[in-house]
Amino acid sequence: MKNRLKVLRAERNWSQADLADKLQVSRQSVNAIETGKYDPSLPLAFKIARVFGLSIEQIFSDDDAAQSAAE
Amino acid sequence: MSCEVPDNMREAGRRYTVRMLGTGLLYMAVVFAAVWVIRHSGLQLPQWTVVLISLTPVIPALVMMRVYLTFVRQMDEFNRRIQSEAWLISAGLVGFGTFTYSFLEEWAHFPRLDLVWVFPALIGMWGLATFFVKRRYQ
Repeated sequence: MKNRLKVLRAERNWSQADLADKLQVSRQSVNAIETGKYDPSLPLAFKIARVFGLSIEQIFSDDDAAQSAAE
Repeated sequence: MSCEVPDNMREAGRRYTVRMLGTGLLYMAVVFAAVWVIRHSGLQLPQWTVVLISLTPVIPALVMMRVYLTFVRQMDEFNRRIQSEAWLISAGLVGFGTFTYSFLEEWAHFPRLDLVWVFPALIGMWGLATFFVKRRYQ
């Protein structure tokens, strides 16, 4: 699963630690999600969306769906 | 405040350390007491009493497990994933390791190993696995 977490965070001048603080998770969690090594659960994805004031689809995208759209 | 872990997890970590140290000390005290009563006190104890005393270290060990589980439940989902994977790897390696060694013991006459080493092996392997699983997600 791809995400725009790093870009959205940079737009707001938030560090990984700032975002982790807002989400009440560890900084390592934010890093693992940003690098695509860990896909968050649905409740955490909703929380992330709430923090950025966006919908889940505006932050996360399915790899297969993106590939199908490109084809 | 910005930091590596949120306040609630840091507080949970502090509680975990204090409780684990407390129950760890209690465990050691119970083990020493049990060994002294059974082997060095000179008391002629009935078998059922020896069985009961032999089981007493299990009680603080179970409390330690409860302390650990409480701590894991207070972690965020990512850290819970790391813990789950680490235990899975540890259980798999120690399980297959002891299973394999049992064949060597039985057929190749390797030295007998005490079952008491299984749990420390699990914990040791869990520690190692945690290190490598964490690295994989970095």
